Amino acid sequence: MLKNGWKTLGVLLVAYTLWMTFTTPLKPGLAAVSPVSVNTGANLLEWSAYAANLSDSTAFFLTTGDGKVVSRGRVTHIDRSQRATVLFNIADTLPTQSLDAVCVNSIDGKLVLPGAVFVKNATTSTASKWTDTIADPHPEFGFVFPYKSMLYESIRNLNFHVTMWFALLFCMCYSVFYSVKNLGNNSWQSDMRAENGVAVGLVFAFIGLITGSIWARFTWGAWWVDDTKLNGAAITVLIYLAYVILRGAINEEQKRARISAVYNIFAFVMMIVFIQVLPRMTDSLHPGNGGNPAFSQYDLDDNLRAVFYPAVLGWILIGAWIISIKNRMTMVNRKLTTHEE
Amino acid sequence: MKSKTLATTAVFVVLSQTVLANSALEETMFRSGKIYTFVLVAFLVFAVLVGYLIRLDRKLSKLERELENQSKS
Repeated sequence: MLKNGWKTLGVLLVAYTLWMTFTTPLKPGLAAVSPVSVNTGANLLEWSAYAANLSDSTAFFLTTGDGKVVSRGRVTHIDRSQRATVLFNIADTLPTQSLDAVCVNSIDGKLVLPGAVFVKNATTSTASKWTDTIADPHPEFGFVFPYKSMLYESIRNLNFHVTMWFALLFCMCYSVFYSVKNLGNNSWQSDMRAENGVAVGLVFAFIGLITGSIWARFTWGAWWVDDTKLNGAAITVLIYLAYVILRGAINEEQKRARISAVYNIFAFVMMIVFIQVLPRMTDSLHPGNGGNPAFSQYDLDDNLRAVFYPAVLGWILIGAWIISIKNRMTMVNRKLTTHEE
Repeated sequence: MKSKTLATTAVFVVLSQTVLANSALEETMFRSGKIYTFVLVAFLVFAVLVGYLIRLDRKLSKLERELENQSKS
């Protein structure tokens, strides 16, 4: 029973992930303010929020980047707690032309949309006429996922798309470990483990590519965008497909084991370069790339982490389980064929 | 077996993308804060994994049959 405990753990972790990802609500956020570009004087602005509780007691402001209030709005209409029409009087001289949109109430707290409005004909002056700042009431949200513009609810994909790549990484690490071992001890068991690791890893890569493509379509706007991480992932998949083809091309068992082991080490290094190193050296749409280490405080908040890390472990354990089933099948198959001879 | 699976998945990918390009469905994907983008992704993860497990199961059944035949003979 205890021997198989890790499988139970994997299932429990995935169940936890599923439950949490589906039931956790999203934090409120400010989605857009239109028009984006305005003139000084009286302006009627359309505010749209997500998962918010806009009401008559909500205060609307335009502020500078460092939070100094430039104009306070007068609400003319609020539609279903998510949309508000607000009248602003914008002065002729402002500290900056680009203003943040801020709204505050006791339920949602302070919602900010940076650089929401650009005042075309304002003259800029550094005079510190504007000093008022807005206090955040810091309401208690309970367990919520962060609001990110563009992503909205699809931020939950983190636990299903990103974790696939972690599972793939595990499978490939497992595979390359046994490839190295195979070069040392020349045993068919190591070769079998290396082969099955890649086979299961490719399944995860495949899921990662499809889900990534769908996520990209509805957030970045295209099925496939020219992004280093995406192309790197695609090349990685091709490299590992070549591994499978290479194995199929060699009939002699010893030779196949050795050659594919050497190739697998090369493939593993290429994968690390393509999906871990290169995206970090250039700009990428993926968070944590373009010079930043992954999972910085800006990408993940603590609530997301509390689901994401168990999800990673859970999917890795599921991957390990599938590999072990495949290994046992290969062993049975081998016994069968050697018995026949 | 392998080429059949690959062909099926290729057809599936092409189909899903043409279907999703349909504007009514596209609207669905963006509705309710893009929640359906997540639902589809989560569904696909399980669909592909279950499909793979069914394939493994079939292979295993074949092995079991062979084993049975062997023990008979």
